[in-house]
Amino acid sequence: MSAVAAELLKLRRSWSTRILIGILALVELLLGYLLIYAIAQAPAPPGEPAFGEALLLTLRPEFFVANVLNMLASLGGALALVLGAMHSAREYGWRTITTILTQGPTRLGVLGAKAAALAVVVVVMVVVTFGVGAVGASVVAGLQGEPIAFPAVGEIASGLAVGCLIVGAWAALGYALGFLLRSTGLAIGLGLVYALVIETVIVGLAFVNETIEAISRGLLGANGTALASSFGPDAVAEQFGVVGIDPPVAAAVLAGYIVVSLGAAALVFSRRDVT
Amino acid sequence: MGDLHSGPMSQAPGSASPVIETHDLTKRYGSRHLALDGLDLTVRPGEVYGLIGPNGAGKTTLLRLILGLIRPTRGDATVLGQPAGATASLRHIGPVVEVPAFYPFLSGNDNLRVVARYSGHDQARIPEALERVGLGDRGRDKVGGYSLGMRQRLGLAAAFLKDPQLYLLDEPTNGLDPHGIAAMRGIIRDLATEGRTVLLSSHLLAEVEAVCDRIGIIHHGRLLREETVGELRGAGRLHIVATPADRAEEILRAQPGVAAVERVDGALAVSTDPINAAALNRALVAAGIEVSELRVTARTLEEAFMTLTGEPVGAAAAMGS
Repeated sequence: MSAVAAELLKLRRSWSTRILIGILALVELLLGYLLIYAIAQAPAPPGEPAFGEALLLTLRPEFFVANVLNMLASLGGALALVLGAMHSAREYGWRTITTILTQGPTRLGVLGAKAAALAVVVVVMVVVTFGVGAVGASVVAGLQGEPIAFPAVGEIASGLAVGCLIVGAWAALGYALGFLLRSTGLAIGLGLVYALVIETVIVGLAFVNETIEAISRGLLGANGTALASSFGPDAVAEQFGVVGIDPPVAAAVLAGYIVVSLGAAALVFSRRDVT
Repeated sequence: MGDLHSGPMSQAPGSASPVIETHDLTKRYGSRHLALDGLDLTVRPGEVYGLIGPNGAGKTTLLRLILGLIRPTRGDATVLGQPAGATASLRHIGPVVEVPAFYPFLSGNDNLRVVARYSGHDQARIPEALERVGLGDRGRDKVGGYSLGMRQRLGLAAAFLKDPQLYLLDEPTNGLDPHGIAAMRGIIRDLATEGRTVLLSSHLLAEVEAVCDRIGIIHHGRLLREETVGELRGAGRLHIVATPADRAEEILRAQPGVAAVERVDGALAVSTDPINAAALNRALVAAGIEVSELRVTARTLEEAFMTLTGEPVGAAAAMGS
């Protein structure tokens, strides 16, 4: 436990942790609520009279869980990947991995302590984003003069769990990339290329044939988005162009990403020389 | 300054045995680079052992093997009775390997808290450890703003926290100013006085000569010699200035106990036990030779190193001796 406390001390004191959480919260408020609200107030595009109404639907307090989860599945995932990569790869950049290992912990002990601390930050990240989403939804409801009616506690709890699963899977991927590549820049760069380019291209080409579609169903982002969208109204799913994946399957795939990522990190870290 | 080493040092299991013992320790990187080649080294309890060799000789590789950071290609190392890298031994080792690495966004205090939590040692010792290395008033500053010398000292403070039986110091005076170097030598001497075992790796021969009991010379990954400083420097020689030099050389070569006579810058370097000095002087005077200077000289560690390694003078100069 003291090793986890040491890792939490580092994450707590790191400005990058605060900045990443802050950016996610700010973007959730600005883009997830205020910008969409502003767009919904503008004249509807020709031939789409219900455009604004559909957008406002996503901003209602009863759908705030879906709104937040969609943000977590997109920007939240990318930021979590950066967080995870920095958390592991910076130890090599600063060579502090040597300092830690020479204090006597086992390598798997270090890996576990770092992963546990990262999980705590992931939970904080998700909870803060949910809090900001709730505030954003309340503000919009107030502006619309509508009553504030949040979903049931059970749905919010499920949403928090799903948010942690989505963000945790991305963070785990970044964490593993950091250990595999031992370079913060390379881990973040390759991770973001995968998240923002490779996934987008594959999902975009899913209609071409069944093989590509099958591949797209195994992607981290696609499963996260599918799971997030299972909470909202149909309009939300349409808005985000979700690949149809059953929520339990999506959850299992995300959990699989976490297990495989941590397993790969453990395999490499426990065997490789620290030079 | 406080004394972090309170009370008698706890004994590790089997501490009467060598603190460090390696057998045929070999490390190869890839197919070409042989960093260590069949190293057999022994560090005894309570001694200050100096490991000297030029940059790239394999000193840091050896320390990394001892700490379990890298694994040997062949052979093995035992540290404090445990296999190298074992948790039970690492908790009793205070390592300062190369330039100590710390988190730049954390203060000196917080970095030591991380070290204490990972090593399972008491955080209450942190202020005392910082005070001992002269960082008592800088503990709240971010390490990112520390100089190289301050980081070295923080590394030593991290080692003190563990109250270790064995200190591994790799180029500990790197980045230190003359005062810092003197203080570091003092600290090493204090550790020796307290009965701690110190393995000091350095390419600075004068530094090693000043503080070490025994020395291992490592070159191209091989341990060439492992002896006391006195043994390495060998028997003293006599430096004699006499006229005429040719005749003096002839007479000296004929004396019992004289192993060799060499001409060095017009003087005669006589390899013999210094106890023969008076007898040789008498022999020269009796032969009508004018002796204007006669003194005992010792081989420097640098000369011993060059003799053993066969390296040209330039290489020794590069060692910064």
